[in-house]
Formats: sequence, C-alpha cells, structure tokens
Amino acid sequence: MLRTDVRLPRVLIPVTRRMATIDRRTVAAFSLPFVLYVLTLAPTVYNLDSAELTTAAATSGIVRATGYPLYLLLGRVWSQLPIGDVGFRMNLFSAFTGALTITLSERILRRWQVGSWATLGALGLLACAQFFWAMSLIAEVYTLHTALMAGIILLLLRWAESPAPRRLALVGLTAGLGMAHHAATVLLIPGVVWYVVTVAPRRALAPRAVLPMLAALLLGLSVYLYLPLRYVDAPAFNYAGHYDATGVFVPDDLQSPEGLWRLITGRSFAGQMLAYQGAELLGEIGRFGVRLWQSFFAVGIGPGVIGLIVLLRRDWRIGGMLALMFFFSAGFYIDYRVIDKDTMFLPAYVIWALWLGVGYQQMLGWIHRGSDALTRRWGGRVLHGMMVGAVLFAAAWNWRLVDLSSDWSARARGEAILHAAAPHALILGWWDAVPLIEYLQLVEGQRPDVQAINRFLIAPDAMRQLIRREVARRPVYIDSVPDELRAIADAKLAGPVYKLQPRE
Amino acid sequence: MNRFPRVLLALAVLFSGAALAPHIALPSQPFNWQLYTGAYQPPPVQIYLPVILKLAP
Repeated sequence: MLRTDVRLPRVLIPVTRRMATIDRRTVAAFSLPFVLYVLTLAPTVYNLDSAELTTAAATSGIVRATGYPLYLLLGRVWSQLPIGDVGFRMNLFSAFTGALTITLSERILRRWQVGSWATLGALGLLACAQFFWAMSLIAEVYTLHTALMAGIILLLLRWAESPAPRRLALVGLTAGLGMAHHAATVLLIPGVVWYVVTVAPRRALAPRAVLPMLAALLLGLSVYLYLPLRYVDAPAFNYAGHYDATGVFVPDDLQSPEGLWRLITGRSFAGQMLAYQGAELLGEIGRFGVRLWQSFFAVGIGPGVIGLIVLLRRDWRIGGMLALMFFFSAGFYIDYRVIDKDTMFLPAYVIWALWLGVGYQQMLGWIHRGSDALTRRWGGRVLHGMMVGAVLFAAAWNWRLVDLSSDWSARARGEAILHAAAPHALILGWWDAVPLIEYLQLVEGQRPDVQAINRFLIAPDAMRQLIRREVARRPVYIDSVPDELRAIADAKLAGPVYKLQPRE
Repeated sequence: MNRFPRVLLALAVLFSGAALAPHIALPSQPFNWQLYTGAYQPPPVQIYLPVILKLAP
C-alpha cells in the first residue's frame, strides 16, 4: 500500500501554511505587472546609474553614495540567473521588485477591506504610472526601495493586530534592511515611530519589545559591513573614491568610521539637498503636483484625496503614519536639486495608490449604501468600468513612452566607444560613457587593455594634468572637450568620442 | 430620490482631477537615458556680458 501522508520537515510547515493563503488575487497582483514589465524590459545593459549598479552588483563592487549594499548583495545572487546577459538579469530584478511592491500593496489594501475592483483600479494605475513602470524596466534601486517600504507598512499593520515583541522585531529588521538598501528609508521613520507610539505605546516601549527590535534593526543595518569588507579586497569596480592627476584611483577609506559615514550619508550630494527657497520652492511643489496628476492620469487625484481623508477619519493612527511618510518622502525630493528627481518620487506614489484604493472603495460604498438594486447594479458597473478603463488607458498611453524592449542603444554606445579606441587607450567620460565601458570590460571581458575614468571621479585640474601627461604617451579619448583643454590638445572626432592629440 | 446624486457624486470625485486638464497635459516625453545625460556633471561656466563690459577700461 502506498503511503500518502508525506510529512514535511517542521521548519517548512509555516512556509506551506503561508503558501496556502496565496490566492488568485495575490497571484494576479504579482503576475499582471510582472508580465507587463517583462514585455517592455530593456533587453541588455542600460545606461547611466543602471550600468554602474549592474557592473557593481555582478562584480561585488562598490558604488557611489549612498552605497546601496543590500542591492549589491541581492544583485550579486540574482545576476547568476541563467537567462539573458547580466544587464538583462539586473533589469529583470527591477521588474521583480516592482511587481513585489504591487503585491505587498495589495495585501495592505486587503487588510483595509478594499475590494478587488478598487484594488485593481488603484494599483493598476500605480503599476502603469510612467516613472514606476520605467524604473521597473532597468537596473535601478527604486523598486526594491518601494518593496521594502510596502513590507514595513504591512508588518506594522500585522504588529498592530497583536503587538507582540517578535512582530515589532520583524519591523525593525525590515527597516534596517531598508536603510541598508536606500538611505531614504530614514524618511519613513517619523511615520513608523508615530504609528508604533500611538497604537500601543506601553507595549512598544517596554524593554522586552524595544531591545529585540533594536537588535533586529542592527542586524538589518549590519548589511552595511559589505562596504568595508569589500573595500579591503580592493574591488575592480569602485566608485567610492577619486582619481589623482596620475590616473591612479584613490579609494575612500571605508574602514574608517568617517569614510564609511561620508559614503552612506551621501555627503557628496549634500549641496543638492534643501536647495530651494521661496518662489522656487513653490514652483517645485507645483511640478510635483503635475507629476502626481500625470502619474495617476487625473482620475486618481480626487479619489486619492478622498482616501486620505477617509483613512484619517477611520483610523487616525494609520492615516497619520501614511501622511507623515508621504510628507517626508515627497518633501525631501521636492527640495532636492537634481534633474532626474522624477524617478525618486516612487515612495510617494505608492502611498498615493494606497489612498486611491481606499478612496475608490469609499465611492463604491456611496453607490451601494441606501441605493435601490438598479442603481447599485448599474452605478457599480459604471464605476468598475471607469476604474479598469483608466488602467487600460494608462497602460496603452504609457506603453509607447516607456517601452525599452528594443532599446540596445546603451550597449551599442559602449561598444562603439571601445571600437573607436586604439590599444591601451585612456578614455575619459561622464556617466553615459564610462559605466558602460566598465560593464563591457569587467562583466563581459572586453578590451581589458583600455583604462576608463569617469569624469565624476576626477577633479577638473587633475584631469587636465593627466591629459597633459598622457596625451604624448598613449591614445587619449574624451566624450566632450571643455574649452580649457583646447590649449593643451587638439580634438578630433573618433566615433562617439574625441581623440586628443598634443598641440604642435 | 438619492440614487442619482450618489452616482453623480462618485463620478464628480472621479473626474474632479480633470478640472486641471486645460493646464496640465498627459505625459508625452518618452523615458530614455538621453534625458538624464548631464545629471551629475557641472554646468558650463556662464559669463554675464554686461559685467565684463562694466569692468572694461
């Protein structure tokens, strides 16, 4: 007789129980955005930060501030997947974490009794928002950040149901991991503290709850040890440091507390923080409002405001937590002077989508309460149709704006530069040239004879001295020629870069 | 009596954001890396001509 009662190891029982709770709604919340992202995913390495992050993750390297050690560790594992090239794999990682963000947000909305239609309408708009979609198609840090953020909110809601020290420790661990990934997780802390202190202050602040939580937080933060540990090994890819006038890389000392602190706090970007005042700041707030309106295709604005109000009235603790998270996340980046900040508002968009789900559910409730059967039936159908219609419209509209499935331009640019470079050349370039070259060299083994230096990592004076010294010794190329270089060397176009030659 | 106002209220909230449509356009700029090429490079030095003229002897 065959035995059918297969016994699972005891450690797997909670896992299998958790798996059993995964239903069609959760599967759809993950698979719908994931399929959308895979269909439009960049097919190979992308440019700028993407090339930097991909190269660093695949080679266990070090990136510029704020270090992103959790991303680099997870990316190192993910980059071993036997599918596509390494650039594609790391793009796929963003698609996975983007879809994970939507899945965790669905679990949050379910806890607030938001129905399937309202969830589909709200999270569908988030998944199809231009910059959320775009950041899910290339190797970037933002969708892992939003997934961890949604995880923190979900764990807080679980803890509030039964404020056990173990559950608070899980919040601490996820917050620590969140900070070890993206320093902007700090912007969520006021909301987290507000919620914990207003829900169960005595139980949260008791030593038997605080101490395990702090220990778990430190455990999460310990991922930062990746940086000093990798520094000791002098990784081939290191963006924490600078080049001197002889072309030698001088790494920042990440074993010293000051060096590590400078990197993880983003001191090198401090000049861009809190950068606007007065009318300029008002203009930036207006620009954020426009981005929000565009991301939620106008229809998500009114219901989002309703959701914010409803949540505050229904549970001022949860409402206050989300409002604080939104205020600090959006406020910090509104006042941050960089041209790519459109990509940094994703945490604020996730919170807006949660409000939108609550707002949609409230509107459905208006129709269902106190109406006759005919109105309930047709009113509900009209609203369902409009919610889903808005998502389909957003998907169709933004598809052509974000689709990168046939974009090989970054790889082509890197290969064209290497093709133009003579043996043992020195190439100086900005973010749209050098990280690509380094990816091709360090990940794919192309042209190890070439030295590439990111101009972000060398002071202008040092670069001039380096060129003056090297231009007579070996081929030197640069992506754009500053005026002050014209006195030292002649520049001749060679493919996508300029070849410098000593002045006669 | 209150069956239509409830539906209308829901639709009014849904389309309230559209009131800004005359002032804001839907996204139209394709996302690509070329948009952010100069993100972290210093801007070129700009010289304000009237100052030079004023300093000139």
